[in-house]
Amino acid sequence: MKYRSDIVIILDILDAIGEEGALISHIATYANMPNPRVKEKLDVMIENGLVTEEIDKSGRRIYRLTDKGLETREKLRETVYMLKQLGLIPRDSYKP
Amino acid sequence: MVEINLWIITTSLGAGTILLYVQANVFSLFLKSYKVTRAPQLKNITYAFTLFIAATLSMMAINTYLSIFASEFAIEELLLYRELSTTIYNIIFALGLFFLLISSTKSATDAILYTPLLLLPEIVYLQIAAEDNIVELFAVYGRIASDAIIIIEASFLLALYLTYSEKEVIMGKLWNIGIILIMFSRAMDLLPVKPYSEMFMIFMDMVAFILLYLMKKEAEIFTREEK
Repeated sequence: MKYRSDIVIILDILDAIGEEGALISHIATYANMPNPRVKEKLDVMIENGLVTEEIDKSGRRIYRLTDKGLETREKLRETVYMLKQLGLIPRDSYKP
Repeated sequence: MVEINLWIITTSLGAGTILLYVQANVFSLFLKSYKVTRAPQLKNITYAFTLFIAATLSMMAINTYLSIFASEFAIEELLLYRELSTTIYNIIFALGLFFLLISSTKSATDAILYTPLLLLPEIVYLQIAAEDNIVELFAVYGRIASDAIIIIEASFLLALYLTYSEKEVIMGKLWNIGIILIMFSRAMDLLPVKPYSEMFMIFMDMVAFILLYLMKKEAEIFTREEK
């Protein structure tokens, strides 16, 4: 598997959650990461107020972006865009 | 001669103010992202920008001091302190570029590959320390060593740009130009054209960081369009 920097991994997770929210299985597929690792990252994001965890009617755990999460996603997109232009991360490491 | 020195001090202060503004502006984006992600790559980039800002501040502080107390200095002293301010600026700037370079590495092992870059000035300083006129020699040889290191670091950054960046985007090309300007100004500083090369160097750094600032603006537009 190709090397991805932490910042790209976090951005991939935030993108996977999107405006609608997502299940951990969807996030893991989108971010191309195993579930336990995604859960680890999500826990940190919840702690930092970027993501919330909700249980829907069918008892499934849905992850949603908070306002801070949406704002962070935008800043990270700008940052990743810049890092790609500066040649500090590979050009194919993030595709929005 | 005094007039030239005063002119350089004043223009360095002006260019330094613009440089400080653009550096702080770009730094704020990386800092905000680092605070929420704690990504090691961003940590190194924030270190790099902290050092760039520290370099500019040190250069401005010495030049402000010189501009206020210029009349109290003999021409040789004025020349020496002005040279010192550029040497200190260059050394801190080189350290900043070093952190920018290691931010591109995948692991600490990769980063070790760049450490010889930091050893070169140490060798020069150790040689200087054995001499009598330490300050004068530091200003001269420290400058030559830091100029050489900046050229090497900038060529590594250029190589990274050519390997990784998206060539179809115009702003990426501007950063390429910025790096070349930084390299060119340091190469010119190695020639016997001081004090003009000092002023040229500050201006080229200013242009390079303005290009980086434009890239940040482009990134803002790009992400807004994506929404």
